[in-house]
Amino acid sequence: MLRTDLPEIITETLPGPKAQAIIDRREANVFILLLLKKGKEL
Amino acid sequence: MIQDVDGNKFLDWIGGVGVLNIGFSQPEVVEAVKEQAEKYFHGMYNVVTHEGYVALSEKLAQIAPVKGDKKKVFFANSGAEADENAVKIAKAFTKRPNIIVFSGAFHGRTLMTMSMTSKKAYAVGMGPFPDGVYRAQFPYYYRNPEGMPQEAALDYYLDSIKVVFEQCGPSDMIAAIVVEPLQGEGGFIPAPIEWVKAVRKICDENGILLVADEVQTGFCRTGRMFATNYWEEAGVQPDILATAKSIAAGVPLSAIIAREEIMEAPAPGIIGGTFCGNPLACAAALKTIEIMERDDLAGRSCEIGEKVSKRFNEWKEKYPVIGDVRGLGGMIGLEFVKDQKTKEPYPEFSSAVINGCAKKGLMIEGAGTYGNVIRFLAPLVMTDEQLEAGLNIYESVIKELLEK
Repeated sequence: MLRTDLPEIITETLPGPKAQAIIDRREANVFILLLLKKGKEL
Repeated sequence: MIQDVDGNKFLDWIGGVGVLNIGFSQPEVVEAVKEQAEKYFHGMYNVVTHEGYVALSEKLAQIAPVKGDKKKVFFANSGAEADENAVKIAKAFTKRPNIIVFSGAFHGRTLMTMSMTSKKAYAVGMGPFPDGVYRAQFPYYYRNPEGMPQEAALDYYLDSIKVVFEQCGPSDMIAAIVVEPLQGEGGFIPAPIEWVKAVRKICDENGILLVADEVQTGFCRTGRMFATNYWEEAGVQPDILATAKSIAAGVPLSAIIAREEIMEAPAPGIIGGTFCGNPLACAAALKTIEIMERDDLAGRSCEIGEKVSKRFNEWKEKYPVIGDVRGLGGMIGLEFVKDQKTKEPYPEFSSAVINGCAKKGLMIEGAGTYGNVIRFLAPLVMTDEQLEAGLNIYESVIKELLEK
């Protein structure tokens, strides 16, 4: 039951393929306010 | 806990940025909204007033720790609207044009609240801004001016309000001082109670209203129903309280609460809005507050806060990148620094922690003027096992990054 489950990553990559497809559609169609650009990599 | 479209399960410790104190879809709230939806969605509160609007007003007047015996309530749709309307009401009551806000403050993104918000990255290219918004220094004790002894800090921050009176607008032209009891976006910085008491005194001596922005701190987040309950315990109350986020478990709603003489000050038509106090939102809020009180979510927030603070403080001893641990109840921030002595902000590290945790199934979010604070805003309904699992992921990522 999700309310009491613990974290579990089952895809080989994150985002997984279905999530990536939604992200791609988001990129193409949705205004998203991203204030802080990704910081410098460590 | 959320599951993505690929079946991955994540602990969400962002909680819709403080909206989901009671969880993503509390079954009793779902039922209450369904019941209202079967009747009607909308009526326009001042045309077809619905019972839920009145009942929720009565409830908030009862529980909000604002000054005065007879209180009234106005509903809006977002935190920014709540803050903006609080300022409008304060101006109408005092008949004064100016307000004081603070460094690190976040109040929203309408034109007025964008002006009130400290970080100007939120306002690039949006000027000109409303006049009469003056800024004093918020008591960010971890970052007192270099060399300042702690015993001098309180006076330093209070003096910055007096400097506003001298250099920006005289005290008898100030309608309100707007304070977040615990700054959220600014870096999870609690307003010290001795400072709050002194600000209240300044307000009383100068006929200024004290407005508490409880958009993020309200509804059990800090271990009380409102963070200003702590103020009340110390003998201080705000004149106006603006709140939103977790009020209706994710259905858009915000509220402004003040004593009757203040709320009645604006001329007819000045305050209003089509969707304000929507029936679905009021139904959700009434059930949410009922559950919070029945299940003592404020107490649970304290329990969670104690466990998290204990663990975070242990990390501070072990890991030199952690500069400060601070908060109230279940609203806790971790500030990352390159060096605990110099306190140089380390946003690259906090960003890497956030990304690393996401890869292991824990969602956390940054904050702070320097982008080097990670906020703890987890839903207060999570289990102890989930809390432990999240903390273990969090610590493992910090360790791995330090060992890199």
